[in-house]
Amino acid sequence: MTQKRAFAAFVASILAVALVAGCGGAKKEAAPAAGSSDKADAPKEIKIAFFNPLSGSNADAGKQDLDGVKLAIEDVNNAGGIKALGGAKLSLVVTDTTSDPKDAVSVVERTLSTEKVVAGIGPGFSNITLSIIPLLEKNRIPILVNAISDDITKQGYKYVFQGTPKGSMFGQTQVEFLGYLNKEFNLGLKNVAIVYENSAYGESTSKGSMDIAKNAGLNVVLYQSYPAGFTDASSLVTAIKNAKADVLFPVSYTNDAKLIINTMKQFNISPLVIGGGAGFLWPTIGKEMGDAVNGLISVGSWNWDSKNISSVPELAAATKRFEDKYGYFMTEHAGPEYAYVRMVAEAMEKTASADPTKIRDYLAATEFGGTTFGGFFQPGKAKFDDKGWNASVHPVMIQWQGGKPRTIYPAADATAKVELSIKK
Amino acid sequence: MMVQSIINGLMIGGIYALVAVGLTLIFGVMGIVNFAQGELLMVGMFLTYLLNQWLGLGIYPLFFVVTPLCFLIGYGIFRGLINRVIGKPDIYQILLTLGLSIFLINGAIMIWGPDYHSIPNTIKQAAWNFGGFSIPVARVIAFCVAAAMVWALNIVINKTEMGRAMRATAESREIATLLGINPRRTFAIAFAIGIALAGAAGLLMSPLFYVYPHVGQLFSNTAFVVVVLGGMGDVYGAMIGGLLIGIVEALSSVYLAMDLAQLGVFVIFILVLFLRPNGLFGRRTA
Repeated sequence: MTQKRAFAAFVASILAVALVAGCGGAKKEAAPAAGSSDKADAPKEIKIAFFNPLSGSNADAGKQDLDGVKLAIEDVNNAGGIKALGGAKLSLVVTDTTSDPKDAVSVVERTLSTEKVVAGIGPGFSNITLSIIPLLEKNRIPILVNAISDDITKQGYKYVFQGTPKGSMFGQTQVEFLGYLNKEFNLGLKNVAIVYENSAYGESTSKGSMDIAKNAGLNVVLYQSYPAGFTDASSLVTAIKNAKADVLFPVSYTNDAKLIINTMKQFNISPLVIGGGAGFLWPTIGKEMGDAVNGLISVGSWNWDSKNISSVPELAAATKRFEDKYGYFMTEHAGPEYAYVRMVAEAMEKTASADPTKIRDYLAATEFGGTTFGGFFQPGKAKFDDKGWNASVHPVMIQWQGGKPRTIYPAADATAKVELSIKK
Repeated sequence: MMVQSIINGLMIGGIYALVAVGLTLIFGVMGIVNFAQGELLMVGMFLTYLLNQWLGLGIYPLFFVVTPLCFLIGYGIFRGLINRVIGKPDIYQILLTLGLSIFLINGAIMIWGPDYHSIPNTIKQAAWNFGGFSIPVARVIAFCVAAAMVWALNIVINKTEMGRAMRATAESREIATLLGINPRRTFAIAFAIGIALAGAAGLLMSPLFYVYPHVGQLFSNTAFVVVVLGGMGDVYGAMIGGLLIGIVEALSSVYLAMDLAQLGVFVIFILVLFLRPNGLFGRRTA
């Protein structure tokens, strides 16, 4: 008798929960007014969600994203907030996606169901991005990501925007740059080794780079993936050594980049390293290697001193504010995230609305550039195509000089000259 | 290539062995699986980093500070936490050490942030090169110190009064108590030794790895495999198991594929358990 009652109570409570959840969801749909131009109705505080790992193996770079976003919000609020909405201030809903794509899904779901956010900024990591964008599309919240995987814009989503170059372009730029070096400095380097960490980031960046290299007349002597969490790069470096590579194209995160570089020193091999971004660009490797980092070359999706930024005072001032506030140069992760917040703010100003769909429409239709922060993206403008990708952007080559990464290629973006005499 | 791989494998195997020996000692003596062993390696690394910053001492001299410090920390953790779940159902023990692991990782993130830190040293790129082979010096030192510690531990276990007490308590707590051995104190010392070994492993690895809150997890999984492979509770087994796993991992990454290094490890693991369910040297079935 009690069992039956217990069971009935159980079923009833399940139904109750489902009902509440359903209502809660429905309520959320009805909530944001359709373009309230009535100032009295305008929100005092507009929430923007931040999605990036702040724990786990990618936390170090996730923090760079956070610093970029925090500075942008400060800058917008200090300039008076969103004036078209009565000076509403921006506030940040920080969500730690963790470095695990599976955990990211539940964390993001929780944020989207408990907070009313108008847009999402980040992640800067391909595997996490791919796992959470379905949620944002479903909830119709625009998200601007600085991850580089090609697959991000292949899903036909309307609410996903990628301002950064696609991973497949990185390989192209690396090979082109090698060709440029060979010509400029008469180097004759032909044997290349491509090694990459085996998650979405590494796969995306290295895919196609083998064909690109072969087409450029280079000899690919090694094409090898490895787990980013490995504790010993000896086997990988032994393979590089045995392949007798002159040039190494590694695509790595922080830990593995350190292991690979140090292990190559230990094994006494020094191919020309043309890094694949990520670990080779972040401050940690500068601190790790000290002065020896100068001369290190890598491709990157964005750099703080590219010509489109250094030639525009408002843009350059933002990078300086970042460095003054946080004590390190504005990184490849921080810059785009900063720009995204400013672009969302611009969308709200221009549409006088905090409605996510209106913001999304503005982002999709507008050609950003010049002194607005869409100009942060080289070559100085940004326009999202119908798949959500910023089609005019391209990677840049950077070289560490004087303890900071400087843009050296292509010529249109370069603000420093490549120095081959600094070789470790 | 084969010889170089075996060398590579032995070197990393020494460290796996060191972490695993601590783990297996703790299990063998008091039946607790310490899921926080990797995190205590991380604590050892952070201690090394901090002492290096504050006192300016080099990594290897700090060995004589960090190892005893970790011993004390282990003793403290036992007296404060582990003591309470001895003799209780397994689930309590699992939850406690798992919780400790999460606490340590997030505590480290809270105090020092998720950032990666390096301990400045010149040894990280040094290697002995001979006959076409390379052995990184830092790894050789780690291997030798690890071997020495395991050898010293063997002496303690087999030749000292305390070691005998540990073996007795491991066999039967009731009879050991009847014979006048204080089980809590024996457990505390065994636990402390296990933690000291983990902390020392952290110190030895610090020239080669970044110091950051999650670094322990790079070693935890493999350490558990080694412990079970060698026979849970068998120190000798953990040592041999560590070296074996290191070599298997290195050979798999060369002859299978770099991504499949772990696959090779787990295949061997399953094979050994299939043929010898108690592990290579395991005696106890409990």
